[in-house]
Amino acid sequence: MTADTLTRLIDAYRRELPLYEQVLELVRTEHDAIERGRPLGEIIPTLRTKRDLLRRIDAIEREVADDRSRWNAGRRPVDAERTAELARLVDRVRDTVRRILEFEARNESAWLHQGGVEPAPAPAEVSA
Amino acid sequence: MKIHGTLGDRAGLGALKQALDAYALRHRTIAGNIANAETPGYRARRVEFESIMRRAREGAPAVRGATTDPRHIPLGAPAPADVTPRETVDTAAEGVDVEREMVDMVKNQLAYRLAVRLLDMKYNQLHAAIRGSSR
Repeated sequence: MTADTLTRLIDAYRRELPLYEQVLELVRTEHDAIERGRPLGEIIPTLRTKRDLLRRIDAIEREVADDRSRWNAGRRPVDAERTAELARLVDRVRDTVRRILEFEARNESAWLHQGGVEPAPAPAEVSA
Repeated sequence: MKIHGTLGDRAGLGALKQALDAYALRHRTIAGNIANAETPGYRARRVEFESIMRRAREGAPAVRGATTDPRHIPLGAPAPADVTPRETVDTAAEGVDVEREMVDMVKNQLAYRLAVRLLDMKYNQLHAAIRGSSR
């Protein structure tokens, strides 16, 4: 059972990685569009694709939810080579997600400062 | 810009948690903008966090004024760990552009999900177990 669990987890991360890489590419595209001041309509299809990719990743995560629980609760397999392979995949996925979020942060900053902003008034002033 | 920093250290993990707080506040702010779309004179609110964090990381001064009393005015930029999201008013446009708010909402939700995933991976026992068993 443990070996199967390991195989399924490796397979899951192998399938997730290219999906995250596609998200990263989309976030870069979005960044270019924001920097060039492209209209909102050009960003919407990118967001839709990104959302679809994340849904596919969520579906993979659901597939292996039980395997993950078994892995967390159970003993470690003796297959050190494959365990190391899984560790490498997890690291790559994590690094890709981190890079996506860094781009998202840049995008948010650029998006916000396309317009002008000033401190929000205190709540009492809002209703005035 | 390293908003989420190197997640191998405490500062990176803390920044990720700060970002999650900012996403949560942004979600509430956008919902408020949509709710007030028809309110005369209302201007859309925005949540500023990423740029404040970037400035804190890039230019945090070595010396900051201590605030030991609520009436003290903070001097200098906050340290990255002390950065909190700030609500601002969008002065670029009158009223609320609902389409933009919807786009902001989706962008924010996607970023939130990714940040949660990253946090989950950070904490995940699976990862810790792999590290432990692959040494």
